Amino acid sequence: MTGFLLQKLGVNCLLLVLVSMVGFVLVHATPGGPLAQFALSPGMTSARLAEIAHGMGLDRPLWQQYLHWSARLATGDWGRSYRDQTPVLTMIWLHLGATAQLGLASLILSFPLGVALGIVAALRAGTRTEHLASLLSVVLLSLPTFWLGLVFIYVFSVRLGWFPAGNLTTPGHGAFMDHLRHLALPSLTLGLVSVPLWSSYTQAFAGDIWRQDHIRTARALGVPAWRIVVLHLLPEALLPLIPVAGVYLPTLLSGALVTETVFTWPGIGRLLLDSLQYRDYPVVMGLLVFSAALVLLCSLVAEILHHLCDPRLRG
Amino acid sequence: MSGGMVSHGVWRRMTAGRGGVISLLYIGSIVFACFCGPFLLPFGPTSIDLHHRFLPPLAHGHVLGTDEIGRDLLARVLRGGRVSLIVGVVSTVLSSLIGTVVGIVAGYRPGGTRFLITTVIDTVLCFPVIFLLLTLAAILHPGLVTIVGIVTLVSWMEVARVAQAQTVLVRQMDYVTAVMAMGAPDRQILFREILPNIAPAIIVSATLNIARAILLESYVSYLGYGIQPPEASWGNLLNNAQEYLESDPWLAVIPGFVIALTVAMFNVLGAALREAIAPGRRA
Amino acid sequence: MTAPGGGPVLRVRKLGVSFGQTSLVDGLNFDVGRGEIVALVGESGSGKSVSSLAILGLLPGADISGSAVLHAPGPAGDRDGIELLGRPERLLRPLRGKRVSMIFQDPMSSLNPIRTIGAQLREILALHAGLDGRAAERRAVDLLAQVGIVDPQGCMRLIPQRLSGGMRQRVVIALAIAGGPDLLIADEPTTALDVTIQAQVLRLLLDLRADMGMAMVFITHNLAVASAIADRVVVLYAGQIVEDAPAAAFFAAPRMPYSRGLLAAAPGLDRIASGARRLGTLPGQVPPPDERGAGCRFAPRCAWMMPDPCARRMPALEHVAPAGPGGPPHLARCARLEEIGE
Repeated sequence: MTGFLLQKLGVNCLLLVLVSMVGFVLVHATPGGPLAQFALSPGMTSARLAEIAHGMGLDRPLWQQYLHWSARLATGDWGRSYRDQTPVLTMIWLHLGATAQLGLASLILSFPLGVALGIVAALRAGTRTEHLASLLSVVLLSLPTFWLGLVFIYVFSVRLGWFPAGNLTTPGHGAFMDHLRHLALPSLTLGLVSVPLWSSYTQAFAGDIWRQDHIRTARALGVPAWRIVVLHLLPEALLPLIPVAGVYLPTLLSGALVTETVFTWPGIGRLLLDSLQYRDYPVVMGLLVFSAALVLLCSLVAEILHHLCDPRLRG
Repeated sequence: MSGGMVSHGVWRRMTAGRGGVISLLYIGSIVFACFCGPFLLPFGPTSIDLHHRFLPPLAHGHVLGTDEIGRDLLARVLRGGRVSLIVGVVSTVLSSLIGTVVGIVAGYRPGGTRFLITTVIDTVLCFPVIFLLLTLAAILHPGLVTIVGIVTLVSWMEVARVAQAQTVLVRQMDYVTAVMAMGAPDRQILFREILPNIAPAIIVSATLNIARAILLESYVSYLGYGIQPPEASWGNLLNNAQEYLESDPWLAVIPGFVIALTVAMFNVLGAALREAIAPGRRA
Repeated sequence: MTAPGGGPVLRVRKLGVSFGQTSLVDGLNFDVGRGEIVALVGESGSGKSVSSLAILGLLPGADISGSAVLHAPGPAGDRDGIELLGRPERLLRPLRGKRVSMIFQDPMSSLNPIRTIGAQLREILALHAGLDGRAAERRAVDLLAQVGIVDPQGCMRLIPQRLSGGMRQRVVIALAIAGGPDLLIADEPTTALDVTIQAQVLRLLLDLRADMGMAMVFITHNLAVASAIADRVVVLYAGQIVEDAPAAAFFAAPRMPYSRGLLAAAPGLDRIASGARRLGTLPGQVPPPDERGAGCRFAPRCAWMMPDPCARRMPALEHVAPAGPGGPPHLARCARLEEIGE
């Protein structure tokens, strides 16, 4: 196990380096490069621009710039935002909480729902129930996240007035319950569109297990059906779902960006959009590297967890 | 075993189920409507009519109503559909080509080449798709070609993985080993043995990819980095709709519903194809 | 060791299994006596597994007709027995594992791969023997020792992956006998094992029968295995019984042409098969359920086939003369039984 994880760790480190290169190259390939923002400011002269470029080290060869930037990246100095000189890491940290809340709340909704849907579809393979479950998965998979958000705002906020349509809190109502009410619609939106991911994997895993001899043996030895599903099938189907979380996280972040836009939720997705708008390149680079690193970290943690939980992989 | 016979069986099995028939009919209709419909409508997609702003559906001959500057919503939905379908299909064709070539090479050449390709794929997959799309879109000049290009750029990996896995499988089969042992050139093995075998899996994957590409285009355009107004696309029709959600909800509801329906139909078609090609098996 | 006292443990009458229009098995009649080992023999597609799964109610979606009555043990047992076919799952489920157990071919996949052997045994013991805690633990260790596991205590803590195929099949057998069933249905339990391990598992099953008086239905396509374990052999062909005979009589002189062909085609048994010095082959294959004609189903492959009556009329399953008074019956299904002779 240790050997496998070390190898995985090595690959992840390599990927991290490549990811930082991609992030760096993307931003520096821009017409105008990282200077674009300054070039637009009123009263800017080319002499002044060259001065800024020199001050930022932009007149040096690209590979030197990359080495400089990545060395500072490694020491935790991710640069400063062009907008207000806030350190990039601080900015990401300030927005991470909102995204984490949204992600967690939607996970609490989508995971049990998706697993239940997948199990039902697997157990009732070939029946009307399976077709209905598959149809539900296809529908949820096909809904544009922003549209679902808009429909929820229209129905639950505009028409029924049950939940607020956006923001973290209502000013002056800083209470916990108020915050939860603001979280409701965004997490419902993101949660529902994440259901098909869990349900499709669960259906595939559970379907395979359900056809195996040990399920039939358990039935032939008189183990009650509910025990077979809950104690035999479910744990075995859940184990391979742990590494799926590595697939889940990138789609969650993508979905979060769209959801955060619809619900003016100040998470890292909004931060990326705003930074792109302002051509705030240090933040854009930082966010690209940060999200990719997060994905790698999560898949590594998931891999370790999988090894710890699955007795077949232990020792 | 001739290709014609195989595809005939697939066609029969696919049209035997309700999903396959319904999705084919719908996709045929929407393509026809989007490409021919605008010529049959009395309103152009960009003709502004400030006297008839925010008309609800079915008012004054506007079947789906009008938007904030009096443009006919139906004309804009159909016009936008043209863009969205083009992006979906063209980027899928391109990404399938790239993915197939890359996947076959990776599957056929173990060792350094495969490691290189899988590393590139893994690197791209580390980024959340929308993050990557938006950054690319923000850097490049917006437009139809750009959006096709960047959607292609973020979606070829899926096909490549399918093609690689299938190639590795086919390569291990005894008859391919036999052909190789007889000294057949690589080209012959690729085109006669491997390509026909992996084609079904790639067609299924491509069909599902059209659905995904349409969704991705709508996200990028909705967020303002895709197709730019006044040109319509399914995503940017919802750009301003949120502002008018309270008074004129159909501006948001109708285009979004068309996106959802079209994407769902491509997904259903993909599922029907998969079922027809490999009955009873699930990916 | 045949025909023990008392009625049969299992009495199957006119068992039919079909899926929609397709009939897989029809008109199956056989008894399993107390402590008797009956081998159900046939090629794949003959309906051996389907019949036993149907008896236990483990064939979802199948139309099952006929009767399969399970009789209680001991003289005080209920005379009428329990009808298994058509019994609701709610009432059938508690019988499985307690009165009738069934084990399957592949020991590699017959055990839950992520639970320890101990946990799996304790589950069955809690279910059928009402044991838990220390008592269950002790009983589980005893059972493992009984099926010949060398280090039962250590084995309890292992997951199946750590055991060899033979060990796993022993554990599966331990699970199957944990509820103390009167009948064990074993579906090709040795087929996936190496030959030496096969012999050990057969020995174990014979020992268990001797210790517990448990009857067995032993499904196999391998006549050598059947000859090593069976008291009686029931040969199935295309969903029908074609011969039902005491093992000794069967292996000495099978009467139905198909049985003869099977025996001649069985490697390692050719010395038993009378007259066949070389390994014979059976031409053709079992007809699929929807291609069965009106006549004898074996007719297309039969060397003794005559257009009339073989291809016209289905022969009945008849007594092979002469059966001694009170001796075990020998039945065969062939129109030309007398002409063909012994």
